[in-house]
Amino acid sequence: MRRWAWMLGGLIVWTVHFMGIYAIASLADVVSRADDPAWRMAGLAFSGACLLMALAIAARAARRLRRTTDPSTRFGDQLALLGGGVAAVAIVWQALPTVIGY
Amino acid sequence: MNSETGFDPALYKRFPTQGERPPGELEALEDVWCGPKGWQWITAINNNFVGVYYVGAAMLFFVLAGALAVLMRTQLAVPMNGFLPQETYNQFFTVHGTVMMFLFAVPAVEALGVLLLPQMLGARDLPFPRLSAYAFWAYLIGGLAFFGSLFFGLAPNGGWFMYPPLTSMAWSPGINADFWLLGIGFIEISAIAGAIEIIVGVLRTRAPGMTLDKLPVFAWAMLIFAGMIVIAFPSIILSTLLLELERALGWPFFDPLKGGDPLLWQHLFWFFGHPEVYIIFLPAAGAMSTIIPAMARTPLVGHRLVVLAMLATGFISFGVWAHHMFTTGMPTISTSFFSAASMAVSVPAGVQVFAWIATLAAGRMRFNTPGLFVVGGLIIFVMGGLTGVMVAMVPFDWQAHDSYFIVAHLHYVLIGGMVFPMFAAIYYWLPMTSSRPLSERLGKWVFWLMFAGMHLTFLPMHLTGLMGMPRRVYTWLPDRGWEWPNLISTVGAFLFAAAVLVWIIDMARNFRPFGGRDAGNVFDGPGLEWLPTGLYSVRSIPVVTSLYPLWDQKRLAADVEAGRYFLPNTATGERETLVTSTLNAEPQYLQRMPKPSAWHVWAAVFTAAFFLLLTVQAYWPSVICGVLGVYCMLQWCWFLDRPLAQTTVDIGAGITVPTYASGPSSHGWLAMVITLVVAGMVAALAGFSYVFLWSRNPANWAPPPGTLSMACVVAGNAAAALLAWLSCRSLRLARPRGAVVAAVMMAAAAALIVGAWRLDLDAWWAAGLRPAVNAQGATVYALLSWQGCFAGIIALMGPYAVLRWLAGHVRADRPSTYDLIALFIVYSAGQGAFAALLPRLFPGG
Repeated sequence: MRRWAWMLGGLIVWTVHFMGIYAIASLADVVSRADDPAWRMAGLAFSGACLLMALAIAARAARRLRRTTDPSTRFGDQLALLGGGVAAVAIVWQALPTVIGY
Repeated sequence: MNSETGFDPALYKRFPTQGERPPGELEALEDVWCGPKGWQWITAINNNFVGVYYVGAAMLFFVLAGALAVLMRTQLAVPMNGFLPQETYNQFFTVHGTVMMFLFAVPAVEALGVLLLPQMLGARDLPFPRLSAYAFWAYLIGGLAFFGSLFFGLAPNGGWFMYPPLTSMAWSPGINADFWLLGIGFIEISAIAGAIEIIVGVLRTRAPGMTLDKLPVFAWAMLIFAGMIVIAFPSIILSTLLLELERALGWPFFDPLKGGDPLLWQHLFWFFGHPEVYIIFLPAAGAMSTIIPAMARTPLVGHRLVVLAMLATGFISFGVWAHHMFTTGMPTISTSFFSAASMAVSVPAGVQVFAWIATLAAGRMRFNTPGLFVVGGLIIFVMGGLTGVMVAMVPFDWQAHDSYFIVAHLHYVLIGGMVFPMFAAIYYWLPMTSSRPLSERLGKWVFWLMFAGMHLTFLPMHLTGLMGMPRRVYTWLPDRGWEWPNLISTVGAFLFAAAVLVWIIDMARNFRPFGGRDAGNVFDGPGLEWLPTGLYSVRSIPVVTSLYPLWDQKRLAADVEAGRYFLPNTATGERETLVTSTLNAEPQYLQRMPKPSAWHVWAAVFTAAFFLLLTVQAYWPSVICGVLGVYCMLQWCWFLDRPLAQTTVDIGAGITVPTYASGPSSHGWLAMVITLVVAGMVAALAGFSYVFLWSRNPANWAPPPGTLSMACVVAGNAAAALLAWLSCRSLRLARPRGAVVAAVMMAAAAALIVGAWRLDLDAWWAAGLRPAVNAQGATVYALLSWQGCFAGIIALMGPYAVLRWLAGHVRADRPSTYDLIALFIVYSAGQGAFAALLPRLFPGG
């Protein structure tokens, strides 16, 4: 299970991010307004945290790849690296409405 | 290579073994895996039979729903046409969409998995062949009953996504909508059963050495597909249950007058409905990624990126459901989030498309029938993808929503993303299953007629949509400029139908009972499925050292056929398959496989009858069928969990493995965990429904019952979980009275779960909350009802556990059944606590 979580770590962070920003906007809509500045900043902070997490996974995977030669282990690390990278780009993209698209 | 289980990978060097195998091994295999004779074909469970039945049934539904489409296009050919009455048209478009999505697209790709995966993975069969067979029969009987409702004017007529309030009792008072709700809910259970089979199969029955980097792309796609079903389908099961409860008992989930909200349906439906598109697309994309390298005679370009793209598609598909709801008045920032997510989907889809194009360019492409279908599918899918990016943009979607533009878009995506790859797969893999290729000449006719017909039908629909023609209208007025596009679309539909007709003729030719059957590896495919096979799958299970074993392991086919790899015989004299580890596919143990029997068929018949009779409101016959269905399932389960006399066996080259496994390392445990994930998703989404409806109307939420009842319910569930765990521990101690102590503790745990549920129910009833009065009552009792289902199942499991002890089937060396019952009870205890805590603590008194 740990190996699977590692391989899919970036994609899991991405999922947590988009579910999180939907939840924050919905909660804001119930409490005040969906685009309330304070809630938007909370969303932005959440996106920042998720971005750091995705980048951390990608960086760790890149480090591990330099050390590993076993093909099956490398495959997992490559997936983790690519997943972390995709997640980082996607998180930035999906965080943009918090700043410019509301 | 690092070992995952302690197995020494150096042992692989013993293969292929040298010398002749003892005589009689092949005959013994053939005898154990013999095919059905006469009426036994109904009870067959081998994937070679069930897979073919499954694909055949899915294609039957494709033809039936396609016939409805042709009739609808005839009606729409000219303005003010009277070919079909309005009500009939409404039923036709509803059944067309429903059958294509639920009875063709998902089952067809699932069927392809059941048919191909065992051979592709080098397994004897998938690990739960009876479950596959049950899923097939349930699907076939339920699907035919659903389609048959058309002939009685009872077919649903509210569109394939059945939005309330149109489908509420007020606007759809007949039983038409109930056919959809109960029929589709039931059929989805069969899809989930198939998904569990596929996940466990891909993770646990791969040929030794088939590590994840050597796992065929199609198997990756099926694994992701099945995982997505497990997460997405609970949502449609819950939503159909809620709408049926509203229609039958007046529980107001979607009725705004009583605090409900029709948007809840849209959220639940599309949380399933949008991933459904990728659920359909991914296996087809996996087939494309398998067929294109074979046709181009070169490895897939960017294999790792394609795997990552499929995984990314699986994850992001759960983040885009609300793009179907842009016109519902959601806050701007929320629509912007969903719009961004929807556009992001094009990135992983694009990675796959570019990988396919690069593979085509890198190799020497053969434009035979499968080759034409993959290239045609690629072109159509890209066109559909581009309009997908257009409708992901909110202002454009506001203009195009519910118009024929959307009809054109979805058909481009689904036909390019699934139908063409499916036909490519049929033309590519049929020589493997029927040992006879389809006709190249007829195949090219099929392709060109279908390709031309598809574009003629759907390309003009972009225009009719942009010119303002709404979808789902049974006729239209003249002088709006819609005449030519509609006429061309109808001509195209007939061309498409002609293609399907030619294909049916080709299939009939192929399955003729005479003529040669020695096609072999006609396309020089690189996967294990092209090894010589019998009903036992491969003669011996090879050690895989490459992603393209038949291209890179030159003598593989001959050595496998000569029995020089794992399991060249029947090690136990029964049906068996090798279970390997999840990541590195290291041999772990030998799984005893079931023999054919009729119990799963009867179980499917009675379950289908239960739902069908419930729909037509024949309650007592329905209850009788339900009881008989449960009896058949218990009979089916009774003969499981039987250890063999030989505790270990030689599986080749002196390597021995156990013949029994229990606990977390067993395949049964994994299947139960996946089943419980499904249940957990339903519970989580029921919790979401509760919170969502509270957010619509928080002022009308009444205070919950006191904390004493909450404490008692939680304590009861905790005690049940503890007892279930102790029961398993006691059994494993292998003491003289271990079995009786385990049985008593398991029965007590079951009783506690039922008691805690009853206590919770009574507390809410005593507090004055009623399910039909307001949304709070409806959602709280929905949570309790879901827990009640589990309490009911556990009420059967408790006595079942005791009966097994009385029959002498409870022993320290066969703890699997008790492990699984305990796992179920522990989960149910957690769910019971969740159902007690959420409505009491949120929003609180």
